[in-house]
Amino acid sequence: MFPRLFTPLTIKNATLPNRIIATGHLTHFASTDGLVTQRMIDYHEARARGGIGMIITESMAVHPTTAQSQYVVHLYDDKVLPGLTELVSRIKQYGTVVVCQLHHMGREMISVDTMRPIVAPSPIMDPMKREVPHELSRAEIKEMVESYAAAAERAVKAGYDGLEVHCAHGYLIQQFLSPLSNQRDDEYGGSFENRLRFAREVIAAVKAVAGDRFVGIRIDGDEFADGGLTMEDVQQIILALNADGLDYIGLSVGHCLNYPTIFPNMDFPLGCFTYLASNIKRLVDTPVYTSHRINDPALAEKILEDGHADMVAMTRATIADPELPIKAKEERIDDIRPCVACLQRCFGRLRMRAPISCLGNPAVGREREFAITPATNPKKVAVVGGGPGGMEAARVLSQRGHKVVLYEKEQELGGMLKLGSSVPNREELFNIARWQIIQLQQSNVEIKTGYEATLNDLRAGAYDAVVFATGAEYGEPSVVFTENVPHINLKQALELADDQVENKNILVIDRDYHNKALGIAEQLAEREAASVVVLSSEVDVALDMESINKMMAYERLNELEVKCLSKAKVERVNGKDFIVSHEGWEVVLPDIDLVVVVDKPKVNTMLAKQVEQELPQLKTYLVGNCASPRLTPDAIFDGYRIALEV
Amino acid sequence: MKVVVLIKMTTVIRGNPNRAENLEAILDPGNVALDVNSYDLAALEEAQRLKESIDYVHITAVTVGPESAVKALQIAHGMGADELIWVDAQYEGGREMELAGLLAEVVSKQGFDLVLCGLKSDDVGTGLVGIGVAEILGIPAVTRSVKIEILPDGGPLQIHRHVGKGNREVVHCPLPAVITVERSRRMPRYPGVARYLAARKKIIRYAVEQQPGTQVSLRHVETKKAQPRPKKIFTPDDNLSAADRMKMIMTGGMARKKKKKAQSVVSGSEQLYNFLVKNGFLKNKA
Repeated sequence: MFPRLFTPLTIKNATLPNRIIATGHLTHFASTDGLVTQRMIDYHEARARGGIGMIITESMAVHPTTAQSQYVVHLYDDKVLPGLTELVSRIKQYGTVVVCQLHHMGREMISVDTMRPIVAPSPIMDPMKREVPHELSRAEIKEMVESYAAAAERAVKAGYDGLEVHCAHGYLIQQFLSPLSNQRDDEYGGSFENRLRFAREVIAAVKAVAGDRFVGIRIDGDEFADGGLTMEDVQQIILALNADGLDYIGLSVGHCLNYPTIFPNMDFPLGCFTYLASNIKRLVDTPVYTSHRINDPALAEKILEDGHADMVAMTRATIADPELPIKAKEERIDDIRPCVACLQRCFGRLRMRAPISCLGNPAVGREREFAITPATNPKKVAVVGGGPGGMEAARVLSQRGHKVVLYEKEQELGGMLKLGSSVPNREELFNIARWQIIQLQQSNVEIKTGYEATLNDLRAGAYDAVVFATGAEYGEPSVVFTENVPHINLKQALELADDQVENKNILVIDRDYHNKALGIAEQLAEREAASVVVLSSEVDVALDMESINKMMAYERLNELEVKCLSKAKVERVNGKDFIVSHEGWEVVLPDIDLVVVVDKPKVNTMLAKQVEQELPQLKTYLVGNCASPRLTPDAIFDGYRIALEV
Repeated sequence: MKVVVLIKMTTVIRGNPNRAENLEAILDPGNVALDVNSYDLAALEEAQRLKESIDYVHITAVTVGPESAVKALQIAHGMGADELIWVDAQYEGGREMELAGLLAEVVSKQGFDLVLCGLKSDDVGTGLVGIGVAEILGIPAVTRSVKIEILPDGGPLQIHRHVGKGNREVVHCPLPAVITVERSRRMPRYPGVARYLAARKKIIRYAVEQQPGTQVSLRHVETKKAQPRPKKIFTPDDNLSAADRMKMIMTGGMARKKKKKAQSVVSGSEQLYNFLVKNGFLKNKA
């Protein structure tokens, strides 16, 4: 089905069994003293077992100035060698090629963990991190080059097949390359040749110790910043570096000035940055890989078929489903758990300085404890509620050999995710529920849709355990400012008819602090409301939303002329005019026709409480929103966790 | 029969030479264009006619020059040449015999029954190269031919040559031979576009390694392996600012508009019906 995807590729002395690779990505699985942990080994081993062609292990610090968080592998110290050797040998036993990423953040980090000044070619503040770096002296540059070489030597000792010099994402080497961040007047700054010098020295130093291991780079195809490196500049850089001898070239995109592109979320079209690799592929004979928003083997095959690249990086897709390569090879396309690019658990958790996980795959980083093992004592289990949490519980329970009956009161499975994916640009979110539905249909779970479970059903069914995933509901709006204007909750807002929206001035009150207020505001604006204003009492509307999703949502809201007001409090209402205070200013929002109050939903545990009273001998579990109102990934995690406990 | 045709690109003066103050200015890159030598086109046409008159004619086009010479091979392929050889080297006027030596090397390496070339070039016009090749290979040469016929039963060639003032001379010549071709009333055919575009893949490239003295040797330059040609892929316009380029990627090149969302099948079909009536595709019955 995918002939090109499963054609082996030889890079110097190593042969990739297929063209699917995982790029270097921080997992935060390292220990606080910078060592490889069992958790990290299990994580990568699961991907290798899934049949991936090449794994570039996470960005490892080559110098003490770049250990950007507590959980980064300290490749600058020999203490990591035993752990790394174990990691590499465990990955290699599946025929997967393993590459070490040599990485220095430069100024694109904060010094909270290193407690040392951050370093950069010029003392120019990073616009994201807002910390002024120390300008590297020439002696210090020499030290950096040597630390790259020393780190490379350690990687070679640990048994890596190849080395990747990270020149992308606005990190130290790109800071030297880009005229925006390099304003030195010595031999490392100014002209094209001078800006290229540091990259050349680092690659030459790494090649000198690499021996028979291959050496590649990862580089941004376009800086997307006015005055920065353009596509042509990058072509020149790559031609110059390739002339020195590179074994592969990885094309990436994104740095501090266009942050979301590093981790494109579901706003970005699939495979939208493949053209950057295509630009380089037509210039050089060296293998080229492309990345970003490639979550489907069919798309990957198409990219190879059209000749845009030689390898396809499907990093997040293999986080979501480590068995993607095997399933694609066996043509079990429907079984591949999709990556929906929600960023809630991978990038979102990195920002919280927590180890990564996945919305759809709770076993990420818990491969050992969350392995699905057959139940020693198969039971008959009822799952009440067919949302993402309930479906996940039913899926895992049936895989473990339990007999499962799933009750869903609506005609279709999917629960709250149906509403969540109905707002603009969130449609892809439902793919995860769609995958769960397909898995349930293939399993021997008895699915009863359009059937609301009652106490009698649970009594008559002779169940050993009941899993409640009854979710949460939106009740009356928690706040009503005036009787003159109708106030509705989120669910009612999603069900408004056209004539109730068109040419109306709508006020959205954000008391959920997540993406729901922005989502409903965007939907109402798209349906031609005259004006939409989002109010939040916090410092930011959608305060808890994952940062990239938030940035992109703001962009879209700006385009639709939706206005946001943070730190806002409704002081009084005159007729239909709302007077709002905002940081000491008074803002008048005139002639409001409708107020949408976006609250946290309230748990729905009516049946669970009944069962607790009437059937005390029945073992019950709560999953997802009915335990406490949280997000989709929490529900799926709960479902998986409970299914292993039953 | 293996026919080798020697062709080249010549400079064509575009501007008015009388207005230029000196000779160098005429040959300024701005004032000249490159085109295939018209006599060589006649030679290619002659080779094609041979191919059409008898079976088993294999035409090889050979050119010597920089990258720009490749266009001559493209035109030759468009006119019907089977094999294309590009020798990546540059010979200015005055080194005709050196060039002849190089071509003789290529031709004998290639194997041939007949070598065709233009009588002379449009620009320098010494007419030395063809006869030079014949001299170095030690085979007969016939100049100024306007018509080449092959006599039946494998006999020698019958060649009509121009001798001036409208007179023709008919000579017989055994193979192998070198024939230089005069422009005649036989118009060179127009190159086919598909073959013209496909030519670049077929070109065999040689580089010249200069030995001491006039001896030269040829080194075959490894051509690239066939690889899938990158198809056109959506790429944002480079002249736009960074923010606009990003916007283009996000929207796939389309501006985002406020759109009316169809609420149900009925209202959707209603919208479609209204659109069709409004734009005159349907007549409103009501």
